[in-house]
Amino acid sequence: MKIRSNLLGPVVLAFFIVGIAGTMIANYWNTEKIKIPVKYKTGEFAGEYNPADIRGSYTLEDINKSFQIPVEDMARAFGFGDTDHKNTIRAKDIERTYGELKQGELGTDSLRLFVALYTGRPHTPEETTLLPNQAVRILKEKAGLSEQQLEELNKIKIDISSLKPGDDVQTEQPVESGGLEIKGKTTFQDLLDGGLTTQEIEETLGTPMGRSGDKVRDYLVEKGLEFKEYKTKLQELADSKN
Amino acid sequence: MASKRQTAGRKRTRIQLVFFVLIAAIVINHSLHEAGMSIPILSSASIHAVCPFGGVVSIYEYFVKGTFTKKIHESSWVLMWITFAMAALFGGVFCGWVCPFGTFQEWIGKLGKKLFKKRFNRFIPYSVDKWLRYLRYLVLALVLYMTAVTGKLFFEEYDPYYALFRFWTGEVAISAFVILGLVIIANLFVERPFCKYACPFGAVLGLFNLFRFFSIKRNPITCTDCGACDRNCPMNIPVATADTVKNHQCLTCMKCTSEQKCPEADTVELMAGKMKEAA
Repeated sequence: MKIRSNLLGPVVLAFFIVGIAGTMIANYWNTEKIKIPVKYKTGEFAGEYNPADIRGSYTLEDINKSFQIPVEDMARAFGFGDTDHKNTIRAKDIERTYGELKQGELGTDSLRLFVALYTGRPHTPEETTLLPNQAVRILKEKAGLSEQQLEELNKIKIDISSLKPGDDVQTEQPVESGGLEIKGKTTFQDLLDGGLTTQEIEETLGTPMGRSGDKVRDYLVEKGLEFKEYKTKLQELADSKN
Repeated sequence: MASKRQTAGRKRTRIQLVFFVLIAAIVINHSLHEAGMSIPILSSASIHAVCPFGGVVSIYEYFVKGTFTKKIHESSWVLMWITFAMAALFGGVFCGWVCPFGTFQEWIGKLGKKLFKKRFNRFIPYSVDKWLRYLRYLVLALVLYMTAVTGKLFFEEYDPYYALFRFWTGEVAISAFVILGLVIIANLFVERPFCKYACPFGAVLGLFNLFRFFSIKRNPITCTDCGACDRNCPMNIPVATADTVKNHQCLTCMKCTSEQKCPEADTVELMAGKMKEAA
């Protein structure tokens, strides 16, 4: 049986059309990450979406779907109130716009904190996480925060009205005397490069280590563990190496 | 008026053009989508979502954790199996008829042909070159290993295809641009240099050529040993000395067949079963 060009061409096209259409009908075809955060596994909020798992690629629309926070509120909170396409603003756009400032960091974790406070769910922000003034105003207005929470927010709020994209943004923070600083972006490879052994990491986490490129924070959140708790332990371990 | 042989060759280039334009349109639409606007109807998937090699690099993760490598989705997995099914039947047909980066190299190669005429694609002696062709298996092994260890798309930083189709985004690593530049320069001397020496997906698909259902077959009875098949093979495969082409580099482009460059009728064909010998 011979195959000619005039048959092979249509056969090639048919393979793709039938294959893709078939998997679409079977509801398997998917070209993007389903941006749904993990759920709390234990405690009062078990079964609810965990804001700690919001990633840089999540758009405000994605977050709205999981947490029912109006996109408009999130956009205004982070200085994007005048933007035309608010739905497609991603968490990492906040990080790109403000990033690391002298006072701390305004980025994805700020959005996680905002979402957590707005929805009354627990989230321990990183020590350097900031929130814009208008985010705090919106939270005061809509989230019913306690006095203690408001006091905490006053310590981390920042005026972004004078900041334009790129202003005051510092590049990588210099690492002090070669020491490893455990952050949300720290990967297992960073831990290994910082002198920690696989055994030490696994003993500290009480779970097998993720792959070298995995971020420790994301890995722990996926396992339903609190990053903050392990961050301190890992930092102590890293400090002991210096 | 175009001869039947020319028309046969054009059918492949038309299919290539369809896929090149489709991928380019999807990738541009992805950028538009990121900017908050996109063309309706047309997919705005990422380039990774429409690349079957994403499925290959996810194999380890899929079978160990049941998930895909970061940036890879079900679509890549589906496209990988579609491509494998085509390869089981026709070998490297994806490379020869579909891959937009292969198409791009063929266009650059046309410039090389104009510059060097008959010397184009003949600079490296085949005795040396045939061993260099196995380099792509080293690339494949490295990519699979590093992807499995890091959980990231390791090849993205070196992928000239990614550099070509995402050059305006600021997301492409310098290393990928450098490799793209090297491929373009090499392409002025050699046909499809990336496919020949470095493409990890071509390496996988090339394995199917060993047992594909439809193979390039030569009838030694009617063959006049004119060498037209050898001269016209973009991958420098010695078709004239094989009864069945099982070379891992064959693209199933059909340039060697009696439908295109072989001057003898029914002598070199893409077919299943035994070649009918001339009376």
